Amino acid sequence: MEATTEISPFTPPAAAAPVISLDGISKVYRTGPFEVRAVDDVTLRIEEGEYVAISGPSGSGKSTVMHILGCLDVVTGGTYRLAGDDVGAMTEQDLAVVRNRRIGFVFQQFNLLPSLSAWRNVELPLVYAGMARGQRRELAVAALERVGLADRIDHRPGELSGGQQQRVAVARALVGEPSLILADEPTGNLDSVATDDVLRLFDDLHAAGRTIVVITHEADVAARAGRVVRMHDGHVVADTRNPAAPVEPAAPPAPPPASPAPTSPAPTSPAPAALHWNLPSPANRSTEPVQDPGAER
Amino acid sequence: MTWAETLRTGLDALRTHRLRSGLTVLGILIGIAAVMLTVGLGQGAQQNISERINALGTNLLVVTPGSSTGTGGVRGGFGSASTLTTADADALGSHVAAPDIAAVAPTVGRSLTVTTPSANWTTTVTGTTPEWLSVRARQISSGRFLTADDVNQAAAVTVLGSETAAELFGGDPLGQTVTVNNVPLTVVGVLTSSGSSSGTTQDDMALVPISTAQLRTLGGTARTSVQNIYLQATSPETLSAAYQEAQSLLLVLHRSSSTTTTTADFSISTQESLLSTATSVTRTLTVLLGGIAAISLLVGGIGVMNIMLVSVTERVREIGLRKALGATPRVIRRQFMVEASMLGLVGGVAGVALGMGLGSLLTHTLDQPIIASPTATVGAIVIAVLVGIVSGVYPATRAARLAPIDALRSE
Repeated sequence: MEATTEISPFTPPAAAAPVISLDGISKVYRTGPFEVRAVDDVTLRIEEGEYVAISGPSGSGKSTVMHILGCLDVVTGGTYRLAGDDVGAMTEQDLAVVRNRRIGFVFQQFNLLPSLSAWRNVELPLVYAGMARGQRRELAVAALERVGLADRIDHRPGELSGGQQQRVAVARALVGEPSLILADEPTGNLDSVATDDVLRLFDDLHAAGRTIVVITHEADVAARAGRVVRMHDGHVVADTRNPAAPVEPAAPPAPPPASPAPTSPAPTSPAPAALHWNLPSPANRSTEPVQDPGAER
Repeated sequence: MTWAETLRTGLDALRTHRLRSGLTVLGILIGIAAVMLTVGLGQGAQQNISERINALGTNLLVVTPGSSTGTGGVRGGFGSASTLTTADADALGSHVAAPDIAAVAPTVGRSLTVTTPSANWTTTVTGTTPEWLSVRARQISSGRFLTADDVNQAAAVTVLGSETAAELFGGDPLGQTVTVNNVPLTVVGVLTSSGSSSGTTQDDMALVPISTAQLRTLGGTARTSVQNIYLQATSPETLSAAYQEAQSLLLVLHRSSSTTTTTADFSISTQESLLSTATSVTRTLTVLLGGIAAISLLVGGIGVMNIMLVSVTERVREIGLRKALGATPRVIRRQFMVEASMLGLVGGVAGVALGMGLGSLLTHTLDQPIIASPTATVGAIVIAVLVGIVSGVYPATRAARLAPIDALRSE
């Protein structure tokens, strides 16, 4: 974490309790006489600073796990501890505070409010945290700078490409300095270049010590994570460390050829010392295809 | 989340759906404008009537012949109940028998055509005594009023109301001659305009000595009978004493078998009794019209609720997202309540403005004053906001209860 002090304000606290601790959780939906066990007896621990992909085919229960992790849904059995606190014992009010302070969400559909400019979207978690307006704007702009959108703070989502919109969403997930970033199919609606942009952002965040959980069914997305949890029919069927991506610290990918990265020996190999907070850099931005040419300049 | 933030978010949401917000506001606006107009109309009519009644004079009692107990105030025509006489008026004028009565003015009158060589004009020709001027609290603008000598001699003189004078003579009417029922009368004075906006009838009249009216201009059965006797009490405090004195005196003079007023052949009314009758009529009318206006306001409120429900359904994803980002149910409820009450507030303010505009327009075109009192204005805006809040409760509660997961899942 040597290089993070200047660029990132985030410094992980000493790990005590695991960020996520699922103990035999299950989620049962009843529709008439049928009982669907969307998640069945899942036990999972995710430590501070891990980059975990939960993958599996559709219907495997990975989305339900994501909703439970995000405190958007409650378990029907078992206990979920978030940083040591039992989520099942919390009121709706407490859950709102937990979602606000401890979790940053990135959705497949971006879920930006179309009527608000980029920075107004990013500041939303801070609004609900009760922060003063001036400070909110400062932090929102800083978060947008981190995802490389410093020149887009006053654009509305409709004026941004899909990749840019998802980066705004990542900035929104970051801005409150949550202990956990939850991404649900973050690249599902993006083309390959934008996908690469967003995944590189996650790599950087991971390198900076964030805990990241990505739900995906795409193998190449899962391959970027340090640990892959495979689900099938509501059960965890595999939990593997990714040999290609070292767990700690995680590696940012090899930069594109236009960007000089002399210390990277292989595309998915360990990180250079310098972190790519401001990526994509202007150099590699120029290679990015413009999805919405009208909005670019 | 602070109130300022909530207000800003609400404004953003309303601005995003301009047309829809505008149409919703229109419902409230029309209702509030209608309420403003009907209340203003009622207050205007009331003020109009009290102005007319107050213009009659101060500390005034009016003795009318016959029984005026008909609920509509309908009485027989002239002469059908000629039970009051000049003798009654003279008796009431006695300071011994009625010490609290300051002045007495008997009147007798009819609508007649007044002619000059170049013009004619139909107006009320009223015979009365010099006391009329003080009893009715009027003034002379030029010339002189009727005198006791005029009455004693049944002089052929007349005093004209300002409007009558203007209609009959372009220039100075003093010393000119008018003809009523073939009787030539010399104009000796002109009354000052009563100044009341509604008081055109107060300025359109021809006054003659009561004896002249009875003996020469009116003819018929009017030789000793009088139509009304106006009494002025010495002060507001002695008004009821004057009432009692006049009543007991007239009951004796008319040898009424009963001492109650119900069977008497005359009745005495005060300005207050006239006012309360007139007021109750206009109040009924105002309540009726106001009820119709309130129904339109209710419809406007239903419109707000409808739109807020549509808005909640349409913004399910937004609500889910806000909840995922940390909005508590209370914050979500408050946001929708604020939006609904803003619709009400905007509708209320615009409705008050429209009501005032239409009110002043109608005041000029209908010659009927429409009054926008501060109470009604503030009340209308408060009611509009309340309508918004009440209409917003159910949609806001529904929004607050949405489970974030269901909200996010919906497409």
